[in-house]
Amino acid sequence: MFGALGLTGCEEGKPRVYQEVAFKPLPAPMAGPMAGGPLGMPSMNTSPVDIQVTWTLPDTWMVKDSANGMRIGSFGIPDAGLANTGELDPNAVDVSVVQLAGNAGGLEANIARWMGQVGLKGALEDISLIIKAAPRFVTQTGQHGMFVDLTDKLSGDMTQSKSVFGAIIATENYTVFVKAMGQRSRVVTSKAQVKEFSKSIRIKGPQA
Amino acid sequence: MSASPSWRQKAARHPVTKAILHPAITLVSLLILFALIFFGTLYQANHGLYEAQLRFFGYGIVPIGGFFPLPTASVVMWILSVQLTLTMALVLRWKWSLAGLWIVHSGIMTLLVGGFITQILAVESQLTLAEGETGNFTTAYHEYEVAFWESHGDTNQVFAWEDVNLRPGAELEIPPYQCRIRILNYYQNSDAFTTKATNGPKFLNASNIGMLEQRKPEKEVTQNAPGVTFTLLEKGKGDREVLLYAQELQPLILTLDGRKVNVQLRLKHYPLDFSLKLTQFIKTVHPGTDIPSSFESYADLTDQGATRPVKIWMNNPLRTKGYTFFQASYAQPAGAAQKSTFAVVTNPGRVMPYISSLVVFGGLLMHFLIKLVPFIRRGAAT
Repeated sequence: MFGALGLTGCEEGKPRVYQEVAFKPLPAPMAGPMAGGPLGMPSMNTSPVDIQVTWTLPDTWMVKDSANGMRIGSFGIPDAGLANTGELDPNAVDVSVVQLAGNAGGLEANIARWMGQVGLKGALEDISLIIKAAPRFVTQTGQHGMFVDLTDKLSGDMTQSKSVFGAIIATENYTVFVKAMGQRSRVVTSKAQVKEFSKSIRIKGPQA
Repeated sequence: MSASPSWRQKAARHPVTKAILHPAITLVSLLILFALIFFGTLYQANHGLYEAQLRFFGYGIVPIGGFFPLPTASVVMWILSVQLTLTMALVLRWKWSLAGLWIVHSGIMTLLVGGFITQILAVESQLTLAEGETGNFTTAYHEYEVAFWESHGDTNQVFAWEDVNLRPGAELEIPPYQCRIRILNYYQNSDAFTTKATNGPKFLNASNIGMLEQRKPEKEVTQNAPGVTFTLLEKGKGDREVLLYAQELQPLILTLDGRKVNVQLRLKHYPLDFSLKLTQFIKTVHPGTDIPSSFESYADLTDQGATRPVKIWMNNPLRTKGYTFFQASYAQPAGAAQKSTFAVVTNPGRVMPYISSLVVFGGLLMHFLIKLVPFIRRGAAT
């Protein structure tokens, strides 16, 4: 009980001043094929570099106007019956394309975050298994990526309705994420399209 | 404890004292603690450990089942502490025959004091190392800080404000660099976008992030991605707007007071005055399954130039200089070095439950003997 009571105290109103030894990360197993390992350690670049990310959009997808910046693409996958009818599908699967610097915190952290967004809890070993089982692919421009499939994961909580299918693509200085999130059954039926979309991605630029 | 008996007796008979010390309050308090632990455990399954701790074991009122209000565990513990203190101060008589009871009550008081010490002073953090990697600091699980630092050789001199201070409108001094920051917004959980908001300021940022949007906090607080925006106010210079996002890997480098300074929103660091290098991690599984039977971390601990090998494995933590390193987790990414995660705890109240148990045991034994001797004498006399 006392252990449960052990909330960490915090000192409000006072700054902390301390010394630490500068952390030296191991040389990163960086770039090139993502042989199932992490995307590498934090990039030491401190100035942003540019890449250009383009793709081929499946016919039935709708483009959302929220596409901006880090979310460089934002789409909806409507129900097949509503596709191209001009009618909005409130349960359309949301697809985002996001570009982050470096390894964006690492594979594990990002997959854990995706899991958290749909109410899944993942121990590190679960996430390692997901990474191990993830199918690999190569983009149109030769970057290596992996598909992250959470649609077969259930939290055990009956309230869980959403799921995620996504792709993670590593470039030398950036990581590009494609995430399709929505009702689990809808995400399952959209997987093939998301795979094709992810493979169609082209990443160009001096740092690609 | 040197109060005169008459004063104690008067105070003990006072209606307020009698009301406070009513046995029903003790009984109800213990039942509430039982209920809080039961419902808190259920709540934890869906909402995570931190939320459960905060809601059921912090201070305040928690509605059980959404409608039945109960005081939280800390409140109940205070009630029990007040009862115990008053009992010892006013009710329990100073008699040799009651010495055992005095010791028992002192033991229970030790337990309560230990609980409060733990609540206030214990710090829980973590350290994840890949094989071959050396760690010099641990990081908090979910508490963040805006850190400003300069590197001097192998040492970083850090000045940091914790997230609890990052309230919109707050002005925080950064004395080492003769400047201050005015917080515009702090997001406990957020999404980042590289385009800037319509009519929003152009932020300085290391990853080209132009805008943050509030997200609903995650169930597990460790999965939140906080962000902060602030105005940097430097004497004689124009104001600069800065955006920091916790998922950024690299710090923003600013020139402050003529010096290159790193600025980052990051999990709070706890520097260690020794280092730990993970040399090997071994996971053993039950034969024919993927179910782990044990995890073992072999590490080199270097303190003041001296290095010694240490082994940390399940239920066998490393205890050194007030820190306890528990084997907590691991990762085995294919094609990369294995990683081991240690839960690191510093808790000045750690030994109090052991002391308390011994004192209570000693008190009960003494009380038993004090009662046993007259009983035997009476038996011999008849």
